[in-house]
Amino acid sequence: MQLIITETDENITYWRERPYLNYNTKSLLDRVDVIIVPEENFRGHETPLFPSNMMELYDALKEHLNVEAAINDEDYREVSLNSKKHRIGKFVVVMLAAPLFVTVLGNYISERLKNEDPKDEIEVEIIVNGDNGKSKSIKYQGTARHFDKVAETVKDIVNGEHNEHRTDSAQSPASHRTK
Amino acid sequence: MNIEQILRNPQLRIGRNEELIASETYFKGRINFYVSENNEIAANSWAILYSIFNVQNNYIKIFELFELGEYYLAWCQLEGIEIAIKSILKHHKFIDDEYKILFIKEYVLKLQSLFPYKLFGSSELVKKEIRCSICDSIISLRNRCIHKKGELYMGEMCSFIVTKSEMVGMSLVNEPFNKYSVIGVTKKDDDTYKYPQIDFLMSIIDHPFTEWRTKDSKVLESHEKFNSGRNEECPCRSRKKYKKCCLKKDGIEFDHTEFILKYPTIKSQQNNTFSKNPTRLG
Repeated sequence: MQLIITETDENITYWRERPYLNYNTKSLLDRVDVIIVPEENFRGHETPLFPSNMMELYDALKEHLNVEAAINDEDYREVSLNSKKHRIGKFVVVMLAAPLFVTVLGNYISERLKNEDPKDEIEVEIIVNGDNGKSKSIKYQGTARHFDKVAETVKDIVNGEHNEHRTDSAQSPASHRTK
Repeated sequence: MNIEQILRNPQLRIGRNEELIASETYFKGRINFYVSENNEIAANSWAILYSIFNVQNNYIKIFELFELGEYYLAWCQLEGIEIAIKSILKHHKFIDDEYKILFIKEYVLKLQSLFPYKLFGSSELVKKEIRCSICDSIISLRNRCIHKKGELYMGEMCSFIVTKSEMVGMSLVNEPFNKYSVIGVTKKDDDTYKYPQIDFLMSIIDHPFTEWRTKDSKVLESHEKFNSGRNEECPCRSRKKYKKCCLKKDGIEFDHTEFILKYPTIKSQQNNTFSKNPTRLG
């Protein structure tokens, strides 16, 4: 199992401003909770690509969340790799929707892999869009069974951010008072 | 025709081609009848039963292919069964494995583990146009027809058909998604692989529904049996030098597979290979 957490600049604004998006798509990406983002420059391919079965996941997420993909409809392409690893995709999620997102994604993964070999690995990246501009990327590679670690990590990041806000707001008046 | 009886006893179908064809005709007839009556629920139920029937038949055929030496074809057919079972399990809940589908699921994996294939070609394809198998509409992310992939419509399963694609790469993998892409074999005539474990299994089981399992271990053969020099390749075929591999051990270490039958078979008794000790293949 591999779980890597890093800071990233690839936040919602970054993905909304990609040069290959037209005006209509950019409008769709306004006020979404989740942006499904493509892999750019895969094997030098000019069009950004999404993993196989992304349309099913798009539908599943849409039942619960305000979700869109960072691609024009006519440019949507999936790449099929003949590898047993299940590539789930890459997502940018607003802080508030992140706990619900990981729950829905976890359910989708369990359902999709319920008749597969339990040793099968999944690969997923979730970017939690920070309210203050700082975003965190959580990259996971491992069995579906351990996806709960990703969910916990995402929830910890969200809670940490909230606590940070609470601490800041709690400290401010105090600091003013000491002055 | 007693379909329940037929599906509960697939082993009774072995070698009875006329009954097989009659049952097949019956299944197709029922599906067509309910489609013509516009009864989607019944058409879908019969389609699932027909799919179960086909999985059972294809599983039985695997063993016929083994007898004909068509190992690669059997390998491809095992993958087909695996995919079909996933679809069946999506639509049908089994109470007590009454149609032996869970048995077949387990034994497909066991049989696959006996093949010597270790390296597979992995094509990387960009899907440029996808169509719905039910209505032939072009599918895009935001514009779809009403059909959902994997669901049944008048007895037919909806799938997405890639009608235009572009190959962007090719690589070699150990664990492929598509198992048919074995490196070095496409048919019986060009097959240079050896299948000792399958041949051995076929020598001890009486029919496809014989229950068995394997147990992998290591055995040591004495150093005196092999005349290898210290700097030569180790006889255990590890590709390491003998001095850096088994020379340091009490003997040459070989993989060893034990075949364990749940109950004695006629073949194992005739060959005297069933005993309290498991049947062995070194």
